[in-house]
This record gives sequence, C-alpha cells and structure tokens, in this order.
Amino acid sequence: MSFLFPWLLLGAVVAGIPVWLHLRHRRPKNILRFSALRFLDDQPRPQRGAVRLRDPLLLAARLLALLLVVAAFAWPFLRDAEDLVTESRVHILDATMSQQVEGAFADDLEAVRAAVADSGPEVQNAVVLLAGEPSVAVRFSDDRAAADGRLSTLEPTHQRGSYLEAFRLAGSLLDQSLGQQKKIFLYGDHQANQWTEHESAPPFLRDVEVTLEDPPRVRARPNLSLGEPQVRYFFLGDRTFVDLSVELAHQGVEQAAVEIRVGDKEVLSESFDLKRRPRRLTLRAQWRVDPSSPRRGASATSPRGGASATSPRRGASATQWLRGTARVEGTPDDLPADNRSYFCLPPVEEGRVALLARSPYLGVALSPEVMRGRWTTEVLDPAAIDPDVPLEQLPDVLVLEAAYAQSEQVRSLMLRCLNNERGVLLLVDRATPLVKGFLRELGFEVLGPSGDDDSRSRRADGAGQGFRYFATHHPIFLPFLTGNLGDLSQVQVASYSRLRSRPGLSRPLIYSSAGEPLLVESRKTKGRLLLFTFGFGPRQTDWPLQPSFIPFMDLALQYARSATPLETSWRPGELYTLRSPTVTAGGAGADAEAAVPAVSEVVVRGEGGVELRRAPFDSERGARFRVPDQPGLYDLTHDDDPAVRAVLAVNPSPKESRLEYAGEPDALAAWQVATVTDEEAESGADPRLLASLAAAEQRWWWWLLLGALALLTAESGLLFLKTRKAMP
Amino acid sequence: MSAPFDPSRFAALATLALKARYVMEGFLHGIHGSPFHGPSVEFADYRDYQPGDDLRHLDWRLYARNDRLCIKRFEQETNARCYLALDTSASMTYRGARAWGSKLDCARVMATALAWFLLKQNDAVGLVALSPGAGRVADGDSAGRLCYLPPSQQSSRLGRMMAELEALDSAGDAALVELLQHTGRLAHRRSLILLFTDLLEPSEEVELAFKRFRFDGHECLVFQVLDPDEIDFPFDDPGVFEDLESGERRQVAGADARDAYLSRFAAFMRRHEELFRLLEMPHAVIRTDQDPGKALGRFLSSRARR
Repeated sequence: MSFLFPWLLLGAVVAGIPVWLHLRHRRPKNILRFSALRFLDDQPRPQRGAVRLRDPLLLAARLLALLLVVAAFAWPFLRDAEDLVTESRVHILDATMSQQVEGAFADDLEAVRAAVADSGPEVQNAVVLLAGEPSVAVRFSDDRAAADGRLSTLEPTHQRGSYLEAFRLAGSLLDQSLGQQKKIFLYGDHQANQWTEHESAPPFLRDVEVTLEDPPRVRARPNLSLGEPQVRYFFLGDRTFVDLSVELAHQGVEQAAVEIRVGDKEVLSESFDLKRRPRRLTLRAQWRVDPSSPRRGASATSPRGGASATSPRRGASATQWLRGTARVEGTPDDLPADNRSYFCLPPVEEGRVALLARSPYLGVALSPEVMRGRWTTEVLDPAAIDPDVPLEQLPDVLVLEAAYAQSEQVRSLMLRCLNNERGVLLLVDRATPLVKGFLRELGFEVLGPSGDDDSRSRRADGAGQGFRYFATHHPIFLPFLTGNLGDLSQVQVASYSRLRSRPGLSRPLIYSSAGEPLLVESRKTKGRLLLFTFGFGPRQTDWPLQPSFIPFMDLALQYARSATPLETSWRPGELYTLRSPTVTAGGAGADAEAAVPAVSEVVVRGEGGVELRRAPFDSERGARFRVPDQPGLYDLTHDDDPAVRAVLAVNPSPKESRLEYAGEPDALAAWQVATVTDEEAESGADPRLLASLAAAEQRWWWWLLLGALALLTAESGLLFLKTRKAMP
Repeated sequence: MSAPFDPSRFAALATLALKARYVMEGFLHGIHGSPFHGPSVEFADYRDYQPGDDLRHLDWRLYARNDRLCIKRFEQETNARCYLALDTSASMTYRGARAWGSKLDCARVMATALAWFLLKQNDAVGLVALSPGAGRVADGDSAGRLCYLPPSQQSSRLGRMMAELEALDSAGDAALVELLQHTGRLAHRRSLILLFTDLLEPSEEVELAFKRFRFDGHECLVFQVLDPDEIDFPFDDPGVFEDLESGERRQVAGADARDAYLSRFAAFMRRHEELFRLLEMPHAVIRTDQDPGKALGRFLSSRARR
C-alpha cells in the first residue's frame, strides 16, 4: 500500500494535537492567580501530581477519527500485484544518415519492434528516435499495438543527431517512469565521432543501466563523400567567374571520379587517384559563368599540398540563380547517400560604392569600365557631404582615405554607414591626431608610421616589404589559393601605419613581413569595416599595379557589402527561419523585385516545382519551417507565385560520412552515475510482495471517510452523555 | 458628583470616555488652576529684532528705555510635552473582588482623564505603552509590541488616544523596565512623564530607569495603581497561588502567610517612597476600589500648592 500524497506522515502528526490539547488544558482546581507573589517567595512550591488522562474513551475516539480523515485525504493509491511495473525501458533508435549502411536502420527497427512486443506486462517501453533532434516515437503510456504501428512507419533520415541529446531525452523519460529498474537500449551503428564529441558532458544518467545493442563488428567501413561546398563569384575585368571549393573525404577507396555540373552543363569530370592522399581533400574549381568566353582552370588541392587535374568548362549566366551539383563515384563505397553535394549562388546584383580617395589607382579600379555590372561608383565631393542622407541613399560600401576623415561630415557619414550595416574600406594613408582619435573610438591605436623604431619594416633596398601571412580561409582570400587571381606574395608595401587593436574586437587579415597588421577587420560595428594600414598611393604600395588588385578589390567590396549574407546552405531537417520575404528576385528577374506583394505563405518546392511544404509568413516573426530531409536543391516561392525567391542547398553533415565505429565508448561511463549500490539493490524488498501486501482497493477511501464520520458521531454522543450526567 | 463613590456603578459606565469624563470632573472639583507649569513660559534671553519677527515678542518696555528693538526668547517656545506611560505587564491585569476594575482599567481611565485635561489647556500629550498587538515604531527587539503616539496638541488626539488605550492588552510578562527604557528614549528633554504602574517588578533596572529620567531633566509623576488585595492580603484559606507574570506557583498557608506578606509589602512601599523622595518625583497610590477622580484631585491639588 502506498500513498501518493507524501504529506501523509505530516498529516498523521496532526493526530497528536488532541493529545496535547487534552493534557495542556488540564487545569488544577483552587489556583489563585495573584500579582504580588514576589512577597510570598518563602512559601513552599506545590507538589505536582502525576498526569492522568481523563475521558480516555473520548480521547481515543477523537484520535481515531482524525487518523482516518488524514488517511482518507492522503488518497491511498493501491495497485494489484499483476499490474505492477517493475522495469522501464527506453529504446534509442538511431535514424541518422550513417545508419543507411547495409540497411542497418531496418535491422535495428525490427529489433526494437521485437523488443517492445516481447516484453512482459511488468515492463513499460518508450522509443526515442534519434534524427536531427531526438523525438519520442513511442511513449510509456502508449498501447503496444499502437506503438508497433507507429514504429512500422519510421524511415531512416539524412540528418545528423547527437547521442548525448538522445540519452538526455531518454533519461528525462525514465525520471518520470514507474519502474524501479531503469534501462536504456541503444540501437545504432556506434559511430566513433558520436561518442567522442560529448565525452566531457557531466553525468546525468542516475541509476540507469545502458545496453548497447549489436555492437559494431568492424572498426571502419570504406566510404567516399563530398561535403561543405563553398561557392562565390569573382570578377576579372568584365568577366564573371565562380569559385567552388568542396571537401572530398575518402576511406578505403583508391580511385574516385568527380563530376561537377551547373544546371544541365558539365563543368568538371575527372578521375583522381587517392592512393597515399590525405583522408580529406579540398576540391577547388573555377569557371566562367557568362556565356561569352569560357575560362580555363579547375584544380584539386589539399591543405597539405598536392594537386590534380584541371578541366575547362562553361557555366550559366550570373544574372540567374546558380545551381550545381558535385558528385563523386568510387568503389568500394558503403554509403552512397553522401556522394553528392549541392550548391547554389544568388544572382549578382550591382552594388553602389561611394569613393573619397585621391589615389588614382582606386579611381581606375572602381571606374565603370572595370566594374560595370557589379559596382557603380560615385566619387563624393568632400565639400558637399551630407551625413544625413536618407537611409536608402547610403552607399553599399564607402571607400575612403583617412585624410578625409579629418572632416566631421565624413566621420559622421562613415559611422552612419557602419551603424546601418553598410561596409567601409578605410585606408589609413595619414595618421593625424584627429584621425588617431577617431580610430581610437573605433578600437584601434595608431602607434606611429613604419620605420620609426622598427628596423625590420623596410628592406635594405628600400623597396618595402611583402605579405608574410594572409588569412587563407577568409572569404576574401579563398579564391586566391588557386593562383589564378594573381600572387599576393608579390605585393610590396613601402610604408604603413603601425596599428594595435584590442583583442576580440578585430582580426588581422594580412600581416607584413615585420609582423605588423596591414589589413584588419573590425568586429565592433554592425557594418563591416576593413581597415588598411596603408594607402594605395604609388609611394606606399605597388599593389594596384599587380594583377591581384582588381579581384581583391572586388572580393573585398563584396565581403564588406554583405553584412547579413543570405544563407543558402542547410542541413537536412534543420529549422529555417525566413525573416524577410524578399530574398532575391532570382529567376523572376528585375520585374519581380520591383513589386513584391504582401506575402502570406512561403512555399518550398522540390525538383520540377513540386510543392513540398508551406509555412505561414508573419511580418514580425517571419516564416519557420523544416528544411526537407532529402539532400538537394529546393526553391522558395511566395504564395502561388512561381517566381523563385531563394534556393536552398541541402547537404548532409560530413560527420555522418565518417564510418568509424567505437566498440566500448568512454563517454557512456562518463554520463552514468550510480547512487544505489549493488548491495542496496539486492536487499530491496520484492515489489510483487509489496504489492501483495497492498490488498486494498481505491474504494477504501470511502470506507475510511465513513469510519471517520462514524467515530465523530460516536464521540459527540459520548460527550452528550457525559455532559448530561454531570448536570445536577 | 457629591454622591459617595460606588465601584460597581462606576464599573457599569460603558465606555472609557464616560469614565474619563467622570474622573476629570472629579479631580477638577478639587483643584484650582493648572497644576502643570511647563517650561514654556520661562524667559531665557534677548536677541536683536530681525525684520519678520513676530511683534508680539518685542519687548516694548526695553524699547522705551533704551531705544533698542529686542525680541524676548524663552526656554522653549511650545507648551509642555506630556507623555502618558502605561505599564501593561501581566500583574496590571489583576482584579480583586473589591475593585471596580483591573489595575490596567484604572490606569486607562486615569490616563484618559489626564489627557483630556492636558489637551484642554493646550499641552501636547503623547502615549507610550507596550501591547502585543501594537508595533507602530519599528525599532529594537520590542518594536513588535511598542504602542507609541507622539505628543500633539490637537484636540483630535484624544479620540485616537482613547482608541489606543482601549485596545491596550497585557504584555504578558514583566514589562515595566522595557517601558521605562522606551519612554526615556522617545521623550524629548525636559518633558513631563505621567507613569501609571504597580511597580511590582523586582528589578534594579527600574530604579536605574527612574534615575535616568531625572538625569535627562524629565519631570516624572508616578501613579502607583494597586488592588486592595495587594495592600491588605485578605486571603484566609490556604491554596495555590500562581504568579501572573512568571507563572510560578506557591502553596500559600492563608492567614499564616499574611503577616510576612504585609511586612514585605510595607518595606517595598517604603523603599519606593524613599526613592521617589530622593529623585523628587511625586508619587501617588491609587487604589482600584476608590474613586480615581478624587484620588487624582487630591494628588494634583497637593502638587499645585507646592
């Protein structure tokens, strides 16, 4: 017999109150309460008599009635022995992409269904499905038949889930379970990276027994995969190119064939020998996208060196969404689901640059002849600068030399640009006190010009110094890795300002050979600020004369402009939140962009424009929907308008492609904690015995209440008889 | 009011206001003029007239003599501040068979009557007492039971004070020392303190508190309220006596214990009379079986004559 109401014991203490009152109110007779007893302190103290209970029958009736009322309101919850649940089990079913190897998911699903069906009535079962986010597929309270029906509909996914999250969900389910024994069964492939990435998590499984079903029989499986595609435009003269990098991972495969297609056109088709190559390679390709003249040059490099074949092809136009696929084939390959990688790029939109510089090189680099179609440049008049221009008239990027920052109007305009997510390229060609103070506000400290106290800053021949380091993984410099855009190491900088910035607020992108930062990106402002510590004058650098200058300026302007870039790369099943309805005109052209009607729904369409899902759009909260589980390219449209507003490239996590398995994971031992020793567990009473002892039913509540009322009635009767007897 | 005082009829007067009025008229009948002269009319010095000063305080005679405009300054430019301090210790709740009320009832009535009288002559009257349900001044460990009304000349103060007095309850234990400490802390210097107590508290601290009053320049009038049972101990039968404050019990032998009781009580009274004589504090014994108005009248008349 157990009582769900835990305050029963406290309520039972209330039964002591009548005893206390009974004794407390026992007042001796013939006592005079007097105020001046201090004058009688020589009188003896009275003898205290033994405490005697009066009216014991009355007292007993009161006590019993009270106890019965307390017991009745404690609501005894009694279970029959045959209905008692002694064990709670949670089955974690791994449905991540790596489970598609040799039909592992289907095998595990059958095992879970059998385990649920075969367990006795003393066992309650729940099933947690591990996909992108773990979810409860079957609850403890679910009927066995309904649970089996629900399990039979489960499918493997292309998502990446976390074992830790699944175990946490299972642990929280077990915390609310009835069984004294709590167990978790994991049905998965036991990917090694699933166990190692959360090894340091604090223990959270208390007194839970974990069983790893069907541990891996091999340590690794052969696999080929492509993932993490990164794609961008760059421009050379009036030609537009695409730069693509994609990660190729291989394990146990010696030969691979890679094919890159943009739309229905093939860009690259090559075979690679993977013998003695690093396990992860960066495949890089560049091609021209406008139809006028194709550009040669595609290569594969790895961070640790090495190169492979090249292949010239021609891609699509830069005025439409660029959609492409990279595919790799090879044998043996146990997981073909990760052999494709999808990428997309929004169409190029012309940006606006405001120029405040005396450098003739900058004027030429940003002139309409060079930047036509990508950037329109407006040369500002320093005497007629209005910092309070309307927001829509602010340039996308402001390029200025620091000498102009001595004007308050220019400083105001620059700050306004930065505060409104516009980009700024600031060239510190002069460091006057006013400029130094302004840079200090931005978080930079100018230490002085180069060569003042640093003998390393100038080479012996007086030609300046080159770049010692540039951030190769930064979006501005990634296209330079192939060497087709010019050699940055040939750039010479004769003089620059030595700059120091507060850590965390900025990151240097280029260092001089003396170790001084030459280009710094500030992280303090909303808009992106790229600060050059040198000007682009002929006495300061020869960079404008190098072939890398124009591509660099274009990439730097692109980077500075896109403070909030459009996210096009997603994982399967990820939650997408679309804030702004107008993503881009895309394939609908400029006419669709001009007039965007009120949007009520965002539609996700698959191949051939097939509608997959709709999400209501709210002007404040935007639209939220799950990205489709199948990797591929998906279009976003509005309502019933077929114009494509955005394209989503959905690719699985490369972690799922690493088919390495762990037999006895260390993380599991770290997550578990035991508060009950084995001896305590063995010495515990048998729950069936306890249940047998609880031979009462819930209807006893009425009997308890009835008994209490009867006793109270008897007590009243007794009191009445006693009072009448005492009356003269 | 010439009829003899009947305790039972007096006790039957329903409200504190009626009783207080009865008592006030009774003691006014026996005195002539105000028995209280506060320090407010004592001349201190002169100072030069400043524009804006009240011309009533200008000394015209001095001006006539010396051709100087001077303002007369007094020790204190308000009327007397009086504090009614009521002992609410448990012993004050005693009521013998011959009394018209408990000692606390008697103290309430006298305090109300005196407050009435003082307010009529434009003196400021305040109240200090300890009561379990009070707690208007949050200060110290006893803040939860301190009942304090600051002195005020407003006539509405009487109603408020009567309400507070009627709501007063026994503090439950010995509370005289605490009351005296609170009164000494709250009273302004050179105030008039009217204390209603039975003094039945065996503590050196009581004497120290009275000496402290004197040191602070207060003028203190002690009204010792006693039940006739405490004065003559009329109990003949042996029985168990329980102390109201400490709860201690004694087996008292009745008439046999009376002599010892009376001798100790007389010594107690002598010691306090000596203390108050040394401290120059007027001391009056008020019995709860007598007319409180006449007792007050006699006491205040003798004070007025001094």
